[in-house]
Amino acid sequence: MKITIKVDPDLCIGAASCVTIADDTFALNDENKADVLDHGQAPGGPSYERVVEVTEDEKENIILGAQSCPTLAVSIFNEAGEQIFPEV
Amino acid sequence: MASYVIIGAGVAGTTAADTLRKLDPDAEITLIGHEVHPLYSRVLLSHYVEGKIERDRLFLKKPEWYLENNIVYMSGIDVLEVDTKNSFVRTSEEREIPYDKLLITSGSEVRLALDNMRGISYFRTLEDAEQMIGCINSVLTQPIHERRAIVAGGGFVALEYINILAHFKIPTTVILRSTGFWSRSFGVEAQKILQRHVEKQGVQLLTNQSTFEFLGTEDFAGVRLLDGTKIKAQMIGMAIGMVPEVDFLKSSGIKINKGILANEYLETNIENVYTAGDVAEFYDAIVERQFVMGNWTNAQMQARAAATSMADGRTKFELVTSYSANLLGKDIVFVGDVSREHADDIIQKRVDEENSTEIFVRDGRMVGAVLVGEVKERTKLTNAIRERQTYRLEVKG
Repeated sequence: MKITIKVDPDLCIGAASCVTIADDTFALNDENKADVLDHGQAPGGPSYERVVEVTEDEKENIILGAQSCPTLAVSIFNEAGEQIFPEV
Repeated sequence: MASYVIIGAGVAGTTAADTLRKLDPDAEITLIGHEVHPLYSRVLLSHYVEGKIERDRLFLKKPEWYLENNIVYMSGIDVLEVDTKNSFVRTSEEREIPYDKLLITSGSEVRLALDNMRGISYFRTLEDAEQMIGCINSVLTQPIHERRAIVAGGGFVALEYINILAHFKIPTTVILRSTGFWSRSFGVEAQKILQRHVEKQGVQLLTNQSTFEFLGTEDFAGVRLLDGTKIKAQMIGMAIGMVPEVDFLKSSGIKINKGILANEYLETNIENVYTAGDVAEFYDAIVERQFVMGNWTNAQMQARAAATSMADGRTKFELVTSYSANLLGKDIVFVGDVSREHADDIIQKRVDEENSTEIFVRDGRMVGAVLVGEVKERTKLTNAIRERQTYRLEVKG
C-alpha cells in the first residue's frame, strides 16, 4: 500500500524521536528538522513530504514514529487521502 | 493474568501502558497519575502560552483512549507508599492496589522558591502554563517602559521563558548562578556565543549571582541582588532546576541516589519493580555511566524498553540520548553524555563568532557532544557515539 508522510517543519523541533523509531523513514537534515525518506533513500532530493510504498508492519512502525513526536509534526495519509494520523 | 501498575501518567507511563497492552492483550493495567488530564505534550506548552495553538491541540491522547485500551487510568491520584514486600501501592484515596510488576515513572518536580507571591511563575504542567499566561497578561497591563520580567536559571526551562517573553516583547533580565547558560555542559566559548546572542536581542544577562532576594509582599515586585542592586519587575520565571519525585518511596527499599537507581534493563534493586523517564537514574549502556536524563525521547524509549522487559523478557535500553533546543533563533543540540564533570577531556572541535562544537571524551572514546549554532553534524556525532568510536577515528571521519 502507499501512504503519504508529511513533516511540518514549522512544528518540528528536532527532538528526533521519529528518527529513533523509524530511521528508514525519517532523518534529521542540516536545519535540525526531520526529512522524510523512502526506505532510507531520498529520490529527487530532500523533502518534508513523500508518498511511500510500505508493508503493514512498516506502516505501523512509521505511525509509531509519528506518534512519538512531542509536537505532532508528522501527519500520515492513506491512499484515499484520508488522514490516518493524527486521528481527526 | 498479569497485573501491571504504573505510577506516573506522563509520556513515560502512558507509553509503557500502550506498549504493555500491545504485548499482553489480557493483562490488567493500572495507570496512576497526579494530574487530571489525558496525556498532553509538555513540549507544546510554550506554543500554547504564545497563542500559536489551541488548548485542545496539546492533548496526545483522547479521554476515551484509556477505556478503549482497557487501561484503568486513575487520574488526580497520588501514590503515598509502595510496599515492595507485599507488592502493593497505597494511594491518596487510601486504596491498596496490588501488582505483579510495578513501573515507576513519577517524573520530576520543579524546585520551588521559598516565597509565594503573585507573579512567581513555574513551568512544568498545563496548570503552570495557564498561570504563566495570567502573569504575562498582568505584565502587559503595565505601561510599556515599566514592563519587565526576570528569569532565574540557565537551562531548558529558562530558555523557554526567554523565548516566550521575547514573543510578548517583554524586556527580560536573566539571573544565573553560574558563568552562563548550561554551565555543566557548555564551555566558555559556547556560553559567550549564547550570551552575545541574547544580549544582541535586548536580554539582560546577570551571571555569577549566587543568590538574590524577592521584593514585594503579595505581588512580586522585583529582586534585590547580593550587591544591593534592585531590579523592578512584575513577574519572575523560576527555572532553577528539577528534582526527581521520589519522596513516596522512602520506606520501599528501592535504592535511590539522585533518581531511582536502575540497570540497563530499567530494573531497580527490587525484583519486579522497574523505572523509566525523568525519575530514573539508569545505566546508559552506550556511554557506560549511570545518570538521570530528563527529555521526551528518552522517557518514551525507556518506557518502551521497560514495558518490554516487564511483559516480554529482559530488554536492554540502548539509545544515544539527544535533544535540541532553540534560544531566540540559535540552535542548540546535546548528544550523549554531556556532563563536563564526568568527561576525561573536552575538545573544542569548532569555534567562531556564531558556532561552537565541543566533544566529550572518556576512556579514550567519544561519549558526548554539544553544538551551538550550526548543528548539521548532529547525526554524524550521534552515530560516532553509538558506534563507540574513539575520538581519533571520529576526526578522520
